[in-house]
Amino acid sequence: MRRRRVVFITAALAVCAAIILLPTPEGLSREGQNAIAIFALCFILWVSNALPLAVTSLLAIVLLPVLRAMPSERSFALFGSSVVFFILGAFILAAALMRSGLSTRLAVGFLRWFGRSPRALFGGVIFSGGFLAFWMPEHAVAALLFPIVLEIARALELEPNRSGYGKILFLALAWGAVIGGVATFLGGARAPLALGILGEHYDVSIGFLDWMLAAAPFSVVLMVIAFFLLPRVIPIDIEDVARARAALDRKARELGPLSVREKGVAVIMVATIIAWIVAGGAVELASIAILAAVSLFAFGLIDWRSVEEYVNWGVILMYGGAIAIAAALHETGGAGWIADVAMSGVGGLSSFWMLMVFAVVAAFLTEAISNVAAVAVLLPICFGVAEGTGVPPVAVVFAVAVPAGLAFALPMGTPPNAIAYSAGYFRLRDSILAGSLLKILALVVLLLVVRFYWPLLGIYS
Amino acid sequence: MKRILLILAPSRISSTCVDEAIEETKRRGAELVALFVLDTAISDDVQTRLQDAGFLGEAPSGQFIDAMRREQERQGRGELERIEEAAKSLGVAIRTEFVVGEFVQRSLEAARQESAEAIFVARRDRPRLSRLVGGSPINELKSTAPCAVLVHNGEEAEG
Repeated sequence: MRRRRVVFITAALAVCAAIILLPTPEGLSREGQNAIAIFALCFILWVSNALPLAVTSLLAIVLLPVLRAMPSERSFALFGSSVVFFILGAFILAAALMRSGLSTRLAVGFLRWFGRSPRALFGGVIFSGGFLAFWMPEHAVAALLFPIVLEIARALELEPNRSGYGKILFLALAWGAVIGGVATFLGGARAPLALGILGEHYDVSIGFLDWMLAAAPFSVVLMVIAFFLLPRVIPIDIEDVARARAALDRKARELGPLSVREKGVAVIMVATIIAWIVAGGAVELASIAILAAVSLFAFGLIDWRSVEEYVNWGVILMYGGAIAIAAALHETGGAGWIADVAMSGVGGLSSFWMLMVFAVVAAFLTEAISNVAAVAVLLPICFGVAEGTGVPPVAVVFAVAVPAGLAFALPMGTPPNAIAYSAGYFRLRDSILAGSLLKILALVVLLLVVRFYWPLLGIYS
Repeated sequence: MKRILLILAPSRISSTCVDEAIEETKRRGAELVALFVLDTAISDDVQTRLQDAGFLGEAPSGQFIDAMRREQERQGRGELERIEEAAKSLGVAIRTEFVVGEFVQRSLEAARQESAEAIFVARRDRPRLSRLVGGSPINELKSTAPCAVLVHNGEEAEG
């Protein structure tokens, strides 16, 4: 690990220095060149995870004013972006769901309801993971489902790496969480980040309901496809799940009756989602999220220590830094210049094909790097490409941020994949084979959604 | 007595490697020491991913890591039992050990402590590019081990 870190940090610094020292090309300002240098540095560090994502963002915030790509007051002020506070509020809500045990109860309830046959049980894993990831971060969903799925695997005496059903169960765990995570702003922070970058560039926004209407049907269709695909790629090799049902019944008994804390969290969660849908246009999403978080404290449903235990505060640094880099690239003309040089051919495409190119690039980039990093890196460039072509920025956000969440094949693509892989029930080649097939099908569905569904919603014409 | 060391770890389990180690031990008339290393580097890596990229706090990521380590221990002990049975059925003397820690360090300690004549180990299931850029614990083991290291890489074995 140490060698890897040294290689990537050295490479990042060398590339950054080389870009700064090169003569400034025609059509690019000195500030734009420096912004590109910082962008390249952060790109390499985000992709390689040589430094924690948040620390890379912190470095960017410092380098932007030092290299005169952005005034220091502005770069530091972007940490206070409303999107950062939306993400913070959403993470506190997720912390309350986990801390109260409500998320585990929902998952166990779902699985008991589904778990009548091998096919229904793994379907339950996909759909319960997907449903939970509508309302809380997909990484948290995968982490909370992990011990439950392990108990099922043990009860069924599935042999790691040998049992086909074991492979299916753990791939279902990862895929359900990943697919559900693209449906709303709450499933992962890449959608809010995209919203933040959009707001900084164009001063426009996307409502909670608008996002759901555009992304949730796609997410549900993809869950159904995953449900039919998995047993075709890896045959089910068990006939009965009675012992898994017994284990789930035991788990449900251990959870006991619904507690007052769980009821309280459920009420606040439902009220918050309704407020986001109904009042999202009039009141900032972040204000509703923070108000919900404050209500949790006011009603004694969570304490500060729990929030500290459940939320990694690096989240604020990461998103503040990513938004600042994107803003610097836009304001200095760096993003437009990269778009002209690197993706000039794309600019001549029709709106539909341009969006599909963005989607395909995002879908493949996210297999190798954190999906948040994929959005942070791609979105400013795609905005630059789309500028002046008639493709609305909102459509660009959907085309980048939705597929950027769809990492299925590699464990390093997203934490749910790493979590599922770590159980040792499937090999890398299993996830590459099945994940690549799902990726292709996902892109086909996305193509249909972009071509026929999004124009109906007025996302682009 | 001569000893052959067979080292296993999560995602370093290969039935061909196990079979070859048992066969070689029998051929040399040696004792097989089967060591399962619960490699903390893997769980540390996943925990870092959860906290750095998933922004989960200590509590949920810690709970997940506990569940994962318990599962890996269960799988490791199960694998050792299977190997012990297989070796005994072929009349090969065998001892099993289970340790927690960093893979290379624990493997080297065991090799020295047992004065092993040879080490049998399998490569982890991981892309070649990642091995090239990030380095390989197996290569580190090969360059520092006090005896021959026979690395099992899918179907081929390298000496």
